[in-house]
Parts: sequence; C-alpha cells; structure tokens
Amino acid sequence: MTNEVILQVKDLKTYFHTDEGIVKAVDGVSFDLHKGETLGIVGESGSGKSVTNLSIINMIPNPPGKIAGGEVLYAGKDLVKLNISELRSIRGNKISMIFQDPMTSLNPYLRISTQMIETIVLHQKLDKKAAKAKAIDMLKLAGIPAPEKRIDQYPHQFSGGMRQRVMIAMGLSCNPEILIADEPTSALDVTIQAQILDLMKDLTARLGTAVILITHSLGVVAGMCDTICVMYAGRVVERGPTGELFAQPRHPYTQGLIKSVPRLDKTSGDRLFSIRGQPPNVIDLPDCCPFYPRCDKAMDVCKRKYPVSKDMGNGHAVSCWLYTEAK
Amino acid sequence: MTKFIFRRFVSLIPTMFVIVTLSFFLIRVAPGGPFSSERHVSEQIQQNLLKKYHMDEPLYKQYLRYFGDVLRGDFGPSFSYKENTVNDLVSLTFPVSIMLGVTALSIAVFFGISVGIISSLRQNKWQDYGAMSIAVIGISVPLFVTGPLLQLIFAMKLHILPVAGWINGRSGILALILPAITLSFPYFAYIARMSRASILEVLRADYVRTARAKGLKESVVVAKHVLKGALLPVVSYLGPAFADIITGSLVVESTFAIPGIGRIFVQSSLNRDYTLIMATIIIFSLILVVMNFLVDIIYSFLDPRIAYK
Amino acid sequence: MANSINKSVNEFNQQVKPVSLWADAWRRLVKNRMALVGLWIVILFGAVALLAPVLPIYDYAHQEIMFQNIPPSLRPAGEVAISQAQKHLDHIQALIKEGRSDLQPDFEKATTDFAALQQMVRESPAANNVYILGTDYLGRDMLARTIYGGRISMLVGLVGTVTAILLGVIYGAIAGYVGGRIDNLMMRFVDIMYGLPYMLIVIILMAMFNREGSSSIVIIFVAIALVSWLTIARVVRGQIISLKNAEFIEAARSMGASATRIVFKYLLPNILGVIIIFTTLAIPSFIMAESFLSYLGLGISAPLASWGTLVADGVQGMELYPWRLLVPALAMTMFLFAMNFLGDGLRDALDPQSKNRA
Repeated sequence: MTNEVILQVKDLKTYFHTDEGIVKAVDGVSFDLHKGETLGIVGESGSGKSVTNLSIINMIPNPPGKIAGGEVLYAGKDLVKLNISELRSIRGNKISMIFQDPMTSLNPYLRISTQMIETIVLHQKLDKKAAKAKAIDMLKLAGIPAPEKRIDQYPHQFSGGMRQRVMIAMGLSCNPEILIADEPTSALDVTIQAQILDLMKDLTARLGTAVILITHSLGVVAGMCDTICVMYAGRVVERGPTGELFAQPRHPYTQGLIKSVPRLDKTSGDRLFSIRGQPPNVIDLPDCCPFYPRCDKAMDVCKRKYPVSKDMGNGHAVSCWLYTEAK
Repeated sequence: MTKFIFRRFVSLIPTMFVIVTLSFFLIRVAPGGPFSSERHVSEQIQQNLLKKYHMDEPLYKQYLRYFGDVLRGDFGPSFSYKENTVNDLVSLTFPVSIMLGVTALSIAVFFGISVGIISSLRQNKWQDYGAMSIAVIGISVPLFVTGPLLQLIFAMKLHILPVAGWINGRSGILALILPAITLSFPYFAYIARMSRASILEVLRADYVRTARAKGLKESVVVAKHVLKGALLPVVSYLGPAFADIITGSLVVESTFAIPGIGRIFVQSSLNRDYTLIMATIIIFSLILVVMNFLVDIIYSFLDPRIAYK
Repeated sequence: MANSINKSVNEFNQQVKPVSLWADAWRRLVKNRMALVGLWIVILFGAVALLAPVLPIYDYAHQEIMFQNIPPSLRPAGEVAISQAQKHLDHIQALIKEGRSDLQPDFEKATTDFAALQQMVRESPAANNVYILGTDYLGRDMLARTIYGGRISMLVGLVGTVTAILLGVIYGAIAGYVGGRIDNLMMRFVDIMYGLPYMLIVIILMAMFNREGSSSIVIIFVAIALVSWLTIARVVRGQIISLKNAEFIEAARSMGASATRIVFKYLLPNILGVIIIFTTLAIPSFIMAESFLSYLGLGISAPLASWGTLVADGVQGMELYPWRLLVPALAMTMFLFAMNFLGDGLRDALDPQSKNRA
C-alpha cells in the first residue's frame, strides 16, 4: 500500500425513489483508496455497502435509483458525471467488480471461455487466440487445475469454490487498478472461504491491485484488509486502519460489533452479546444519528442532527457526537 | 447425448399406442353408427354394409384388425366419401393444412420474438404499450372474427388480396397471406408477451449484472447474454403451440375455403366416419408427439444444463 | 428491551405496520391501473349477467319478424324500419334515374312493400320498442341476446375452470405429496394425455353427443374441463413438491405442527396464488374454446345463445348488418381483455419476487 490516492469517494449519495418514499441507501459516504490498498467495508444487511460500490461504477438500476449527489474521483475524472461509453471503458478494465453468488453471477448458457475472452478482447484489444491464452493463464493463477480443458466447460460443471475462482480470474484478467469484491465468500463453505480469501490476497498483492472488499464479517476484514470503513444506515460511521480500529474502536456501533464476536478465550457461562434493537428503515429517515435508538451513550443532540466527522489522527475518523462539539 | 435422444424417441411409442387405442374406443362408444344418418336403407342392406366393413365383429376384433391395418399404413375406406379411401383424402388435404400451420407458426415466431424484444427493451414506453395492446387483442379476439374482418378490409374493400381459395387457384401464393396472418395472430400475441416477460426477467439476473460490470455494450449484453436464456421458454412453447395451431386451422380453413383436413374433419365427426376421424387423430397426434420430441431435443441443445441430468 | 414490533410507528416516526401477503398483493394490484380497470369491467359484466332476469330488457328469445336486422338506434323500431325501407326505395329510384330502367319492377314492388310496412307498423305494438343495439335476422333484441349470451359464456368459463381446478388440484396434490412411483405413474398419464390433440377430441365428443340440445351445455363443460385440468395438475404438483421440501415447512414440522395444520396454513395459501392466476387465464381460454365450438356449429343450440354463437351468426351478415357481429364481438373482446389485464396484474401482484416495477 502506498500513499498515492487513486480513488476518492466524496459525500456520495444514492437515493431510490419508490412508492413508499425515498430510500436513502447511501447518504453521504466518503473514503479514499490508495494504490495497492485493501479497504474493507463492513456493515449489516441494508447498511448500504453494496449500493455504495455499485455507485462507484454507476451501475445503479435507473428507475428507481439515482446518484443524488457527491463525487467519485478516479484518474482525474468524476465517475458520477462520466458518459456511458467512457464508463464502459473503465468497467472490467480499470475497475473490476465481482459478486457474491458465483452460481448466478456466471451465465449458465455460455462457456467460461466465451465469458472470459469477451472481456479481454474488449479491453485489451487482443485477438481471440491470444485472449484465450491469457484467460488460461489467469485460470492457472487462480488455482484451477487443467485450465486448458476446463475453460471450455460450462459454469454448472464447476463447484462453488471453483466458480468463485473463475470469477476472480475473470475480474483480474485485464489487470485492473481496483477490484471491488461484493461479499465474495458469503455464499461459500467456511473452508473454501479461507482458500478464496488467501487467493485474493495473493493475486492482488502480486498484481498490485487495490481491493474494496465488502462483507458483513469482521473476521474476514481482520485478516484481509489494511483499512476498514464501518457503515450503518447508509453512512460511514467510522473509518481507520485495521489494527487501530480493532484496538481502539471509537463509535459505539463499532464497539458493539466487536463485542458481538464470540471469543474463544472468554469463560463459558457468559451470554453472547448482541446490540439491542433493529437497524432502521431507511425510507425517509430524518436527519439524526441513525444509531441513537440502539446506543447506550445517546445524547439529546443525537436525535436532532447527524454528527460531523472527526479526524482522530492516523487516518482514523469517526462520526459521533461523543467526539465532536455540538454547536 | 445420443442415448438421451434415443430414450426420448422410444418413449413416443407407448404414447402413440395409448392415443390410438383411446381414440378407437372413444369413437365407437358414441351413439349412432356410420350409416345411421343415411337415407333409410332396408335392414338387409344395412346388415350387408356392416358386414362389408367388418362392423359386425366384436369390438376387440375390430380393434386388432384396425391396428394391423394402420401399422401397414392403410387407414381404410371413408364412410362418408364413398369413392375415396381415407389415404387418398388424407394425402390430398393434410399437406395443405400442414403448410398453412407451418407458415402461420413461422410468422408468429418471427414477429412475436421481434416484438417481444423491442417491447422489453423499451419497457413502459409507447412502443411497449402499443405492442402489448395489440398482443392482448390477439389473445382476446377469436380467429373467426379476425378472419372475416381481414377479408372484409383487404379483399372486399381494398381488393388487394383474394377473399378465399388456396395457392393452387387463381391467386397463387397471395391466397396464403390472409389465412396465414389470421392463424398466426393469437400465437404471435402469446409469443410476444411471453418473450417480453422472459427477457425482462433475465435482464434482472445476476449474470447480466456481471456482464454489464465487465464493461460490455448494452447491445452485446442483450444479444449475447440475455437472449439465449430468455428465449428458451419460447422454444418450449412451440410444441403445444403447434397443437393449438392445428385446431385453429379448422376455423381458418372454413373461413377462407381452404382444401385442408380441417374442413372435412368436422363433417366426418358429425357423420360418424370412423376411419376418417381415426386417421385424422392418429396423424395429428403423431405430428404433435414428434414436434414435442423435436422441441425437447432442440431445448436440450440450447440449455447446456439439460443433457447432463 | 424496547422493540418496535408491536408499535405501528417506531422511534423515527416511520410506519412499521406488518403487512400480510394478501394485503400486500392487493395494494400492488390496485396500483396497476390497467388491472384495476380490468377488475371493474369484470365486476360490471358479472353483475349484469347475474341481474339479467330482473333488468328492464326485452326477452332474448322473442322474435319480431317484422323488425329483422334493425340497426342500433335510440328511435322506436317502427321509425327505424320505415326509414330503412325509405332509404332502400330512394336507392333504387336513384339507380333508375341513372339509367337502370330494368329496375322499374323492383321499384314498384318495393313501393308496395313500403306501403304495407307502414300499415303494419301503425298496427303493431312492437313498433314502439327501442332496440338500442339493433336486432338480429329473426328480429331478436341484440342487447338482450348479448347479455344472455354473456351469461352462458361466463358460466361456461367459470364452471369449466372450477371443474378443471378441482380435478387438477386434487390430482396434482396427491401426486406431489405422495411422490415416488405413484407420482411417476400419475405424471406419465398426464404426459400421454398432453400428447392428444385435445381440441380434436372435444370436437369429436361434441359432434358425437350433440343430438339432444339441452345437455349440450353440460357436455361442453365436461369436454373442455377434461383437457384443461392437465395444466393445473402439473402446476400444483410442482408447487407441492417444491413446498414439501421447503425449509419453512420443515421448521413448522419441527415445532410440532400437525399435518392438517401444515396443509391448511402453509401449503394451501401458497398454492392459492397459483390457482388464482390459473383461473384468470383459464376463464378466457374456456370462453374462447366454447366460441370456437359454437362457430363450428357444435356449441350451444338455439334458442340459447352464447357470445360464440352470436358472433358466428353475425359473421354471416357482416357486410350488410355489421352490428350483428360487432355487438357480441366487442362484448366478448372487452371481457377477455379485462380478464387478461386482471390476470397480468394478479400475476405481478402475487409474485413476491417481482421487482418488475418502474
């Protein structure tokens, strides 16, 4: 990881206009991504993590969703304002995205070779033969045995873990600067999960790819990520280097999350901890700290205004009235 | 793969067997016989007629005799058209009906899919509403209304197409147009609606999202990734569609005076012309069953997950 | 433990009322304008059909030969008949003026007929009838015939569908629930039946058993239902099989739910959606099938009428008396339109995964 910032997300807002109201799925998210950095975005279901990342490459389904504000700065351009053909030259090429369920994310009616070659031919301008050779190389790197034979097979002929390896190979085939991985291991068995994560770590280190890893598992981010963003109800509530965040979590939500992880070294007989209450419905959410109903340290100001982000030094920022003076 | 095809083929046989048997006994069960509506003939002559056609034998014997004949390709004499054998009648009229049916189905498939694609890609815009309204008309208005209406407009008022007749008549190939369009209309409508719905569903699929995330142009995404999966239900539909089209052709043939099997079928049912009815059912069933079989095979070629079950 | 499950408004002042599947489906249906229009039309037609005997309309079987083929009009029949005859007279006169002197005897005949007509109209009480939608070739009121025709057609649709559903659901449920070899056997039977060109069979049945008029309605129901139960049987069986093994059923069983409870509280409601959708598709297709039969002369026999027979009659006089075709054809088309839109709407509303909204 270097100090060079390659992606800047500034105050990104993505809203969905539904019959029941405006869903503020992403409501003011900001973070920076450095070259070669692995950034983890953690949060519960519905916290807005997936939508944030779809917004980066502007793949929000247009009705009913729309990017309502903010900037995504990459290579000197604002991706939010970019026209579609320039966006397409970035997708799959400079910024690549892989998804959660490899069974449904690969086209069951097309061979793997077809699906991999089309990306390479499109972005790297190679001919089909050369593209196929490159694809086979990527499959080999991804740990698929006998790739020359398997590349001509169909997705249903691969196991779940193998399919995800194929997805990763496909995602990295054009050597992107950024790989966005949306819960890449949630659909897999635990043992395979570890393998896939190791693979990702290895490959991205080798290729120098920056990674945005979305997950709901603290264990995964702890092992993989340099930096972590914690999201809640469409906002980043805390952000910082992994070690620092785990050692000194500031936001009550982060603290609650860490406390909820069962530990092997605790004495048995204690109840497992869970944060009380439910995550909010983000339809027409008022301007307040969305966590306050579940927060033991909630104050009066928390009900009235969303906290301003405070930089605690060392790249660690938190949005909580406990650390900022309310005006 | 060949084993799969062979197995499917073999399963056709019991189906045909049941169909032939069922039809045979069903028809014999009905009240009245093939000669009951004749002018009053004497008891003696009636008996002679029955004997000539082996109808005085017990039913099961008639059945076996019939079965044997059919296997040899002989459908027997017609009871209502005395000078012709059923084979003659069938070989004259069946090809006409088949040609009409195939033409109509081709029109329906081509336009149905095209319209379905356009509608789904322009969802909720005027092209979509327009096309789907026409489609709903197609499934709400019966053939025997659209047929005469088209006749009225194009033949009687505008004089650009012949009112009736077949391609062996004066107007040649033009005579095929109106009946084929009439017959194709409901199927076009159904296929348009079906492909639209299917494409819309596939457009929401995860793998289409992956394709877009790879930076592919939307036209490539649709042509390469969406269509193949989305049109599979249409392929499945072709089997039952063909069955329906056969019955639809009965009406169209009578509206447009087309010398197909449909026109003599209803009459033969009313006349209890057993042999003709049986022949019609057997041949239609055979075609149907073969079509379903072909459709299954085609489907298994298109969907790579099937053959490996 | 403050938990907002029982409150209808949570701490953010947001509505958190729980919504049942049916309430949700209803809401979605109502938002679909075309489906709503369809629903109203279906209700309207249904109401008119039910109330037909008490509505202030003429008897559908009553013939007024004098007033055959009267076009739709708000004027009394007598006037209309006279003006039609007058037009005819003028037409011939115009032709004669143009040089068709061979038509002179026709003109004379038409004049005599005209005078006779005027006399008859003066004497006839029926001359004051107003036939809003015209009359047919036997002088029967099109409005009444169309309404009563609708009764029969809708009845065919409904009874046929109900029969098919009863047969199909029971057959499919048994096959699906029992599974194993019995299921295999039952489905093989369905497959074979599917291979039959069923419409042909129906036609044969109708032709064979069509001698006595009054039983023809029943035969139609039976014939059509006999082939349609196959579809619903397959669909129900599929649903039952996938539900049987669903995790929420397992969960219910593990909580001690009895078989009856499982069937009625869990399985049936899930099948209900499929059944409703099938109904909205089956009724129009039965009505179509019946109209086909009627067109071929194998349907309902006179003096009863269905939309099918009315349209078949109307096609005959299509050029000269278009209302005889258009009135029942429009009525039938509107009803089928409405049912189809309603069916589409129901399908969208009941599909819990449908994200197919703008």
